[in-house]
Amino acid sequence: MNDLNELRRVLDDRAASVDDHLAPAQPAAVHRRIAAIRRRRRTAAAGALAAAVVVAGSAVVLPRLGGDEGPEPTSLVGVDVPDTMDSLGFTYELVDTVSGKGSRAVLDLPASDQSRLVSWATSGDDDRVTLSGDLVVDPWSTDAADFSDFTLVPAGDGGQVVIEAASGTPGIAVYRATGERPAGYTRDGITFREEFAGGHLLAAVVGEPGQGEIDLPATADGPGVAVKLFCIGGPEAADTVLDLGGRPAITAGGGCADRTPLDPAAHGGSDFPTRVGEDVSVRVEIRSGGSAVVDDDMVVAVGIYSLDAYAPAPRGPAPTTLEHDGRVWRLVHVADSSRAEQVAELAPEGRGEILAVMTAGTGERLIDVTFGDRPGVRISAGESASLQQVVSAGEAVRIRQVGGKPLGDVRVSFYERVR
Amino acid sequence: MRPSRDDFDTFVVARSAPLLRTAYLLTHDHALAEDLLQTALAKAWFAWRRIDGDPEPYVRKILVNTYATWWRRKWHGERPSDELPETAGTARSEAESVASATDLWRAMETLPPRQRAVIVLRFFEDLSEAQTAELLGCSVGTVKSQQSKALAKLRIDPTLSLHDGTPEDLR
Repeated sequence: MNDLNELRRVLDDRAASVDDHLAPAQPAAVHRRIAAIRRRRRTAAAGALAAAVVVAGSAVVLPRLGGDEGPEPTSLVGVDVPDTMDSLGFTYELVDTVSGKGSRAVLDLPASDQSRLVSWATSGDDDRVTLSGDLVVDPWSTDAADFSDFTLVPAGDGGQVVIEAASGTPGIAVYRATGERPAGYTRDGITFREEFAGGHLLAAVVGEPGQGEIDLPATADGPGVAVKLFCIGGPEAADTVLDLGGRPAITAGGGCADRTPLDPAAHGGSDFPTRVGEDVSVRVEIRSGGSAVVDDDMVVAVGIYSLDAYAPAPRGPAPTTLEHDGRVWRLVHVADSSRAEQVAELAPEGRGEILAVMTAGTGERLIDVTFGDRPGVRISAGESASLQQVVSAGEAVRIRQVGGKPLGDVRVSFYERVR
Repeated sequence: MRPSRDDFDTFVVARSAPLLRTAYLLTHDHALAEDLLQTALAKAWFAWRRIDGDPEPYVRKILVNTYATWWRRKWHGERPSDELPETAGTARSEAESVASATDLWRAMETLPPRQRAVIVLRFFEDLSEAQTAELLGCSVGTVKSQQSKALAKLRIDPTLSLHDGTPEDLR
């Protein structure tokens, strides 16, 4: 058995062995490192330029990257760029800008361990811009082109965002998540925020490192709960076994992640219908090969949110509030088109960008769903399936059953962004 | 007044040596320690103008958290698997002491990154549990449990300390 004196002595001796004669040269070495980071960014932007020219022919993109100091307060295409931006209570700081030429700007964003926001502005009088690129699942348009809107790029993702302006030249600003977090439950750098999609946090816990079983008592106070849970640092092949209210609820594969999500509330999870007062205590166990996982590095975290509506099925009431792409949306219109052969609902006018949500329960029948003039998707909705897309006022959501028979249960809901 | 490049370079010259020592105790590798320190300083550079007051705690926080988050991805292959042999008694020969110190150092390499970070911060940096928790972005309870597990793995009995500087919470 050793003692603490021995430990201190070992640490001191080893530390003293470090050769620090390079200290005077460190600034130069660090600035070389900083220059290398900038070169990587320029290379990425130059790649975007080449791709844009090849694909678009006439497009030209001029990347403008940060100066020798960290990003300065700046103006881009004549519009002041905010130093920080907020998404769902999390603060993001400005890290990069790209100015376009002509009516187009292209951002090539390398994958990162951190969540980022991409925002934009234009120099023109008409603020309308269209977003596309492989980081934008389906192109969408907005009239907010003064760095007041953004799209969220989750940690781990990388790719291209293209901004095309109706008039003038667009510029793009990139923001990175900071350590500032919203109110809620925070432990070990993990935050379950207090508010989620119109609901609120009932209970949350972040387990001790190595703790593979979590018990979290809670009582429902509304029509549904959302259980958000994740595991990091454990085996990649582990199963997550979830009991709700003392009953088996879900067993999911997929294993543990290698990074902590910035905002666990926004990542997946499962919704359950509840009655007020019902026991919704959660028990989570991480298992592998039929036995409990033992791993000192593994951390399991669980949050239980009360929902203001439980509505995965189209017959139920539509949720009054949703989250999509790092933003909050409020219900403005519901079109119930059940039992029709086909549906064509128009997004309401005069509300800027609109989030259209199609919820259907069509059994095994196939349906075609089209948002505006984007490519359609063909799905089998089963008991309940949902698709979301940001659309413009007046754009149509079209649903048609393959074969021309009645659709079954279908609901189209429209939401406006809460600013 | 906004900090300048000169401020940054002055800081780097003045504080690189102690930061490099911390980096070495975390990584157990001179080249990786250099890499970790330069990465942390480069990250700090891009946030330099937003740092209020003494930048060292901020840089140290970046350094430790970069180590904790990158370790799994970049440096996973460096763990020796040797078990620390039991040593008995308090009166040891010089050779035994050297062997024990080497064993202890190698045993530290078996610790998960956060446990290793807790050991370095608590017993080299002499940070309190609260300071360690703040720096690692976790709770004091987590620091306590990580420290307890790490000491158990190192086969250190926290009651066997003759050092006046024994942290208050171990007494």
